[in-house]
Amino acid sequence: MKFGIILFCLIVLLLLTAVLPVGGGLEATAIYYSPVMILLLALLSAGSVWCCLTRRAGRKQAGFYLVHLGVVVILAGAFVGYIAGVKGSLQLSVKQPVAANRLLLPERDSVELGFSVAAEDFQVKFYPPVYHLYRPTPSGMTAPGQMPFQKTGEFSADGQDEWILDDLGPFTASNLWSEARGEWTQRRMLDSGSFLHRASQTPSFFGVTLLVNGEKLPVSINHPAQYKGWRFYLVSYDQLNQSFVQLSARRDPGRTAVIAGIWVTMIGTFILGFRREKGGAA
Amino acid sequence: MTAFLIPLLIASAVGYLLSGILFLLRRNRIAIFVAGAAWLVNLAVIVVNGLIVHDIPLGNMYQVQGVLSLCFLPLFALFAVRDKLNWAGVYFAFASALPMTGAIFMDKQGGWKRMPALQSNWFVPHVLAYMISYALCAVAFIMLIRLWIRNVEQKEFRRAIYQILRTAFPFMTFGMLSGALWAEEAWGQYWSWDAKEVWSLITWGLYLVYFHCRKSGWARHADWAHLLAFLALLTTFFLVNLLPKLGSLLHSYA
Repeated sequence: MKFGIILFCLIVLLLLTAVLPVGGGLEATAIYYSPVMILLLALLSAGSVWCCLTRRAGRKQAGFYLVHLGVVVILAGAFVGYIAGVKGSLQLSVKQPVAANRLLLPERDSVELGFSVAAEDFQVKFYPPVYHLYRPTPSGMTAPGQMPFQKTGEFSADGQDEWILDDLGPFTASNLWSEARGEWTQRRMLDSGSFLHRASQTPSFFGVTLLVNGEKLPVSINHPAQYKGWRFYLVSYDQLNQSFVQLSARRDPGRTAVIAGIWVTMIGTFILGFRREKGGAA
Repeated sequence: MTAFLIPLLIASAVGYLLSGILFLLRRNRIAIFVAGAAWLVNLAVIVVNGLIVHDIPLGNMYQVQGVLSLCFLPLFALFAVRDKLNWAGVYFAFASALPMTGAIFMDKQGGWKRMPALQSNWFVPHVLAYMISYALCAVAFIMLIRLWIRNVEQKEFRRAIYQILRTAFPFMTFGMLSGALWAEEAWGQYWSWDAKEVWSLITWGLYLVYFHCRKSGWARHADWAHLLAFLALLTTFFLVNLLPKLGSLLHSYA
């Protein structure tokens, strides 16, 4: 038990060296993947297995075993992924499908996928925008370098169609939609120098269809595509011209173990936390 | 609709505070009644926030604080029934007033929309699990301070704190690990070593130190581990978002 406490403290101290905003000379990722961290995690796994082996078996110990072995399975799976997994990125044109068969690795190296990937049918949808109401700052009240306007209200084009713009009176939100351009107006001038300005729009969806060896696989955020042990994730897209999408791809032989370990640990902690202990009521 | 919010927030915060004072005066029945009324007002705040954003209101710190406040009373009911911790009502009442009071002064932005990464079935369970665990950790911490400041029945207090943290920990574990499963689905990696993630791991590790100290020959150090764990929790929840140097890119919306 004391060995475990010392290990936890050392791991916490190591993590603190990476996140505390002092010095600023330490490269965070170098700490997380350092031999010291790997050694500490290996010792933690060994300690957890030792705890399970030396504990007297019994039905009431289920939570204990699940938590300790779950953590070991997570760390083992993560280690397998670290050693044998491949993760990289690829940028695919969506204006005109161009097949790619190599994955760019973080170290500027690349790896053969063994098949070709192209992208088509890119879609992006936006939520109705939010408009900010700006009013002129009263004369003599503008500080040097400051814009002569101040934001006095926020209105969403998602809700009611009629906005009450304080003393400027009612305003019909749908008037801001430009049918000709197929988009929401950027700025609308109002009486007495006030104006409504469109804030940046939040995307509600973006997705693309991958063409992998003739097979069509839809990909969007939270919905990766899978092909021959590779998983493809849509990361971002060209917001200016919508001409390409950025994907990451991963082949991780430790993935199943990590996910199984996570579920086992979660179930184990609930069993441990809600189990009645001797003299349980406080 | 936002015009209703400030009076509702104030009414709820005052209700929780009043209930705490009544618990202190040992007027438990009326204290529970007042806490229940404050909780209903708190619920109304959540409903109004939800109507404003047309979604579950968990999009910014202000909205999350409202949900956090809502967690305390049902959790108190659980502990009162299951563990006979009726005497701990005062700690739950004062703890629930804190986030609600904070919410009064926060920017009540109404323009939040769920970006694609947040459109996951993990979003609500991940945040709610953390809120439940944070609520319980806050109560346990207030009880620890009380234990240190004034002479109280040490054994009974320590067991109550342990009981509360034992229930909090599975929710904290679920919050952290469900976040990993979600991140794997969204970005293809369970863990990005983002500042918020690392601080949540530090918090989790320090609570583990507390539990292991309590069961080992180092039980006398458990209180210190508890103190450090709660300080780490405050850093995870507040400071990571407030201090740019600790900044979190992946959790900039949370």
